Amino acid sequence: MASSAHRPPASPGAGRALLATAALAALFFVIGLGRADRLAADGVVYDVAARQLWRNTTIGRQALVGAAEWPPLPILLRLPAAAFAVAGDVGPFPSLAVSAISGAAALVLLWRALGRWGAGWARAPVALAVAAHPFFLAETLGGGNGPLALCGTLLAAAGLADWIADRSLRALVRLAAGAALLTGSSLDLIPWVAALFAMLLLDLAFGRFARGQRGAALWLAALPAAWVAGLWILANWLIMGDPLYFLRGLRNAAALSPLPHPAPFPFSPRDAAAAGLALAAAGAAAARGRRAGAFLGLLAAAPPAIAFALSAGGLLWSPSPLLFVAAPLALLAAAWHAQAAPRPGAARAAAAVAALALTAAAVARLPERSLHAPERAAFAALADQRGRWLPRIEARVRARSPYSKVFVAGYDGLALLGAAPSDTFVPTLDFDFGAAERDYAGNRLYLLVRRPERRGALDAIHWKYPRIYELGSRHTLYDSDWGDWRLFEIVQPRPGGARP
Amino acid sequence: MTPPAAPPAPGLDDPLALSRAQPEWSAKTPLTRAQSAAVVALSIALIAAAAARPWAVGRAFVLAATVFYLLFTLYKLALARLSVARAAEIRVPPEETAALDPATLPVYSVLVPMYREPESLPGLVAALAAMDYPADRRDVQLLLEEDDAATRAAADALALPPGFRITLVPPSFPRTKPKACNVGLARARGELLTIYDAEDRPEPDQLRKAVAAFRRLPAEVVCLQCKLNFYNPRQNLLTRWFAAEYASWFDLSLPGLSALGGMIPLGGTSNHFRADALRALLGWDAYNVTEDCDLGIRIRRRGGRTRMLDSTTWEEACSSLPYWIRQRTRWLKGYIQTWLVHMRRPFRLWRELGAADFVHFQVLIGGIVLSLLINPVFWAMAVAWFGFRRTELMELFPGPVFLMSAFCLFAGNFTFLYLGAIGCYRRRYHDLVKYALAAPVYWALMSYSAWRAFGQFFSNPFHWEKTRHGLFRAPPAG
Repeated sequence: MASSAHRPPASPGAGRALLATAALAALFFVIGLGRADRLAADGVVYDVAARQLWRNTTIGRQALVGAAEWPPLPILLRLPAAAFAVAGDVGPFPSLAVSAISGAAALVLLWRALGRWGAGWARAPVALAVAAHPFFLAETLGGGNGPLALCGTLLAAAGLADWIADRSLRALVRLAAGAALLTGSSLDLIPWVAALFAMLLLDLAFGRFARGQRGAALWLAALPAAWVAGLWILANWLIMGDPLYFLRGLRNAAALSPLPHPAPFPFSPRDAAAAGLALAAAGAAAARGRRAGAFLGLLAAAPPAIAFALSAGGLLWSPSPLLFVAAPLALLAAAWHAQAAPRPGAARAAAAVAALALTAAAVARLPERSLHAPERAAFAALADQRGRWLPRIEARVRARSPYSKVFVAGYDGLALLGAAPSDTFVPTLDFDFGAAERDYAGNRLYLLVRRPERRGALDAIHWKYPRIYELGSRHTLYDSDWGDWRLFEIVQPRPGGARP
Repeated sequence: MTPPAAPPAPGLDDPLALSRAQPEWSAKTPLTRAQSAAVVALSIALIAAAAARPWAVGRAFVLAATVFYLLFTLYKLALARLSVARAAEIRVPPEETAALDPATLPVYSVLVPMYREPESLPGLVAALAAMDYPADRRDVQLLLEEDDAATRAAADALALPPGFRITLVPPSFPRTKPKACNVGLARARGELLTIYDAEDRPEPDQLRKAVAAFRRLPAEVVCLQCKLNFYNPRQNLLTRWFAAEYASWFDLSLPGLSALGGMIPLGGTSNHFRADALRALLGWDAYNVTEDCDLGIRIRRRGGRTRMLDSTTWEEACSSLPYWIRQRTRWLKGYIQTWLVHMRRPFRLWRELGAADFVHFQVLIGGIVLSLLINPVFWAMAVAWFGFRRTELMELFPGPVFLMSAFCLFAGNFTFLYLGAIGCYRRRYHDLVKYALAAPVYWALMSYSAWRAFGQFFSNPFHWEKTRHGLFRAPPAG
């Protein structure tokens, strides 16, 4: 009771946590600015989408809500920074700011969760293991979406463990916030959120509660995520005219399965170690009847399992986020178990060794078939194309007519064009031949389509006009190839249209 | 022990002392000349500007309202976050209250203003008599209006327990609860003093808790506000919403303010005072229909502090919609009065409150009324936009403003819903959580009351719309 302190802090450590987050975020941001040429591909897409949204363009609104594989929260979180970026016409500032803050927040969340559980001894090795992970560094310093997903998983998993342990409202709100964050920011982790809620339901079914408390807890836990999903549907109805528009790419993926050139399943020794650690912690906790530890371990083992299932179905476009969140979750589960173990000394030592081994593996970059490499290569190619090909394409089409427009289809198109607006190139996410001809009557029109691969295969252009890349359509004439991209001229199938 | 007879403080035998001695602190003059001139000038300027450039004025209005909504949402979130801090409330464990030596307990005055509430009297007396406080140290005054024959008759018919007495309030203008309380304050004998409504059921150890807390706290803490909630939250849908609102206000927002050590707009009952400090403030403003809220601000302006005490008083939630609307109208009219009284000299207010409390005052007193007044405008625009696709509305929402507005509409409203649900859960009203989520209908009722209050402020500023109690007959908890 603070009878004499009249301006007490919000809670012990909260101020320090904020300061630590700010300091770490500033550090990550400054380092990230120094290597802006190595931006994560999705970071560039989100960055451009946020700038477009801030300019209140149609493409910005469509990018915000139009695809489940490009969820809206990463764009929304970039908006405040995008406001400055648009005004100042600066580089990848929004994405770097968000990834730096979320990376810092993830480390602080981990630190605080371990502190709450009395596992202060595990803080340093676990934080080190996470911070040294190449994916964490690449994403945090490169404007990627991974750290945000990590924040969501840590919040939700630690929230579930705390809820089972102390039934506190705070834990429930943390769980709910984490689930909502993941629902709106990471399609890859939606199955993980489903697993989280399944475990919560199990706990509610078998735990002891006051009358009506089960239902209330479920409402509080699920409502934010349900609200995010509901809003997404509403926004699709308002912006795209179809409440389930954002799911159509996924439906197409299921039809296409396997996706063209799906990502391989890069289960490295480090991932195997993390999954093994998680399962061991889950098994040990289950054997001792500790529900929180068992669920935490299972949640840590779930991401590789999800990645494997998607890979087996040919639907894996990037295993990195799933495999990445597994390691911090496994360490969290191990620390939880070690703290609660009957012989804590030995268990702590084992957990610390595991954390340090994972760190060493990360630092030494043990053989990994792929962590993030394909996307990074793809983005490097995009950046290269932007510099070399776009001017040539522009010169080519303008040589034919000064009134030429080139529609660049899909989310990769946003990254290709970057933040700079252009008179010739028009990004499009929901391309329609009729609308294009109506809106650009008097212009000579072209369409630039990327080869459908992985996540790009889910773009609207590929499910609205199946096999357009390979076969074209009755509205298009093949023009030329530009690396992964194919340029079509848009033609009238029947005479008498609006075009000259 | 017989309570020592305390002579009334000079001037305090006058229930209108504040309005006579310090008229600048009283709502007796609803609008000062300067304020009236400012209102007229602002209205003329707005009308002229709207006639000349309607879209520009509309855009400015939307921008200002959107920024306000955004800040208000963040503010409420921050308060809720602060409310979970350990220091948010004064907690007094049962062993501490049990350890209080009865011989050292101070005389505790309890004021209970009543008007036309004969049916509440037996239950009230029983509840107060059951409080864990020595009978010889309690000084309970039932403040009855002289011309309220029914309540007087009911009181006469009751055998009042030791420490209870009846104080008659002579009929005079204005006929308000604060005037009756001032009459009681002048005759109060206690070192500490609290106020309850007729239908209140305070937790039995509340007085002891307050004594223990006051002993622990520095002298500048002159008031403790207990939490209020209802013993009939499940009577009907209205009481469910009302209980959810109270849970959010008393269990999240006010503890958050308390954690900051800032000003607290007092709730209508269960405010515990150091009686001398209250007398120094000249009691309540008899012309203010939310005298409690006003008193909370005055305490802070005079350098005192209010803290939240972790004890609950159970009240009867108004279960009748017409009466609920009257009650809410009175509260919101009082908030308008209070805001105008203290904004007569805004720079002085800033100086006396400090920057942080000045912001709290603007947001919690002016801001709440303002938001309720402008909410219907935005709801209408949302309906026109979503339902009828009135694209011309986009003129009012240029790019960034549209984004902020959309954020407020979707995330802001959800935040308020969710905070209501959290409040219910925290208060262990588990079954009410789902009702908290239907609160937008309740918000519409509040907005209706706000507009009614706005009109009544000009037409009948001192009219006290009495809340009818006794509509709930089940035995109260407590």
